[in-house]
Amino acid sequence: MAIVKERSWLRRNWWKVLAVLLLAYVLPAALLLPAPRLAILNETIRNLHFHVSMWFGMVLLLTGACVYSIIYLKKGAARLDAWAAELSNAGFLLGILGLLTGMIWANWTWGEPWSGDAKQNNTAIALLIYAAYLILRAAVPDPLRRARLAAVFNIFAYATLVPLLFIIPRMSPDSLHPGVGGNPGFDAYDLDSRLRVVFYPAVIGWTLLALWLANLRVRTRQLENI
Amino acid sequence: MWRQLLALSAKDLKLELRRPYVAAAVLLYAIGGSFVVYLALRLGLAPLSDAAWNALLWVIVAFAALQAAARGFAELEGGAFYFYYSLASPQAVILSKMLVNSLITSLQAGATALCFGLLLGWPVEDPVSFGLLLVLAGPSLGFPLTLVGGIASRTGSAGILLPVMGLPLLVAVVLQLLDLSAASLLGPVGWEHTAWRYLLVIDGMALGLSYLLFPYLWRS
Repeated sequence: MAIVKERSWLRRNWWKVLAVLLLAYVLPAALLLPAPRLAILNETIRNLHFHVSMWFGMVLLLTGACVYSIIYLKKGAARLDAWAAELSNAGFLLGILGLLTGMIWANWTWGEPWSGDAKQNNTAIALLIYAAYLILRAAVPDPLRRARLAAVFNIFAYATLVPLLFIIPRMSPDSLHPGVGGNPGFDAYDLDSRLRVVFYPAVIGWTLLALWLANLRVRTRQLENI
Repeated sequence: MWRQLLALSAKDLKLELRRPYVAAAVLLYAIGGSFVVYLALRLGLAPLSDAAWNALLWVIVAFAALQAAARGFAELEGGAFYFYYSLASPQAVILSKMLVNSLITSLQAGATALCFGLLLGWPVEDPVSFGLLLVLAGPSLGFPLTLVGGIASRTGSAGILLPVMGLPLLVAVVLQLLDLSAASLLGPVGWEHTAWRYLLVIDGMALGLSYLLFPYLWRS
């Protein structure tokens, strides 16, 4: 099989440079730039630039994986399946990192790394679902059948992810997360411009870094298939 | 397609009914599960809290649903698969499987609740909502599991993969069932409880996605 050439901007280098530059700015800026003083949160609000932005990246990547799975079912090219798999992998990695940074943060603000908060529990479930996706991929030896089964499961998994992350946690009024139940939060009123100048670059930076990772692994797969 | 759907569902139901051990197995699973809980908790010595009753009931029902889903596609292995492939539309196959699976799961939920009532006490305050919940448990657990069962049956190692893929997907549903069931143990459950709507949305979503996605599995 010939290497399928990416016609898009993915073949270019500017976005990789952008990822490095953004993260080179985000890492010191997140730790050093002035941040608003809020009760309970205090300095831990800086975790916004790691935990929250990594999960923004995770959701973006998993959405991309779902889109690739849908297109794969329509068109059936191996490259599309590789993208779906690698975007899921990279999204899963960001999810784990987001969970870990969240637990470190929770240890300081809530007093324990795991308090059974609705968002924590549902994220753990979401990661289990994507772990099942990776196990499914590993379990089917035939590449064509694997691609098809994985695409079907991935679409179903994404349809479950959305309510798990965005609907159920909002239904329970007693979440410990900032912005809910009287906790100070990062909502439209609290997320002030001092946080925005780091937060948005962080989201773009983490997402691009994970995309780069996925891109490299897709190209490795294509080389392996020659 | 509707005729195919009816014919396939009727065929599956007849198959289940003609094997007397199937009904016995449903009942025995319920009795066995309840009795294990009864023994494990030494219920002669200490009472069971309502929360624990609720949790244990739905865990047993969820595992029963997994079993039912595993059975649904077992007959579609090998030659039978090509036979159905040439005869029926994939939508009719998946919808009939979902129908039969959810029926069996509802029955299983009812039987398990009955055994729980006999062995572990009956804390239910709102029997109408609770009964409705047992019926709704069928499609809510059965629909997503049928599609996952279909995926697992095409992998060649369904026994391992079905629980791995099915259980995390079920958690969202089981949480809603637990919420509503816990509410029905405390008193009347109104329609304004959000979990009802959420369950119906999940059921509709599972139905729609299975209808759209199963043809791709069928062809693989």
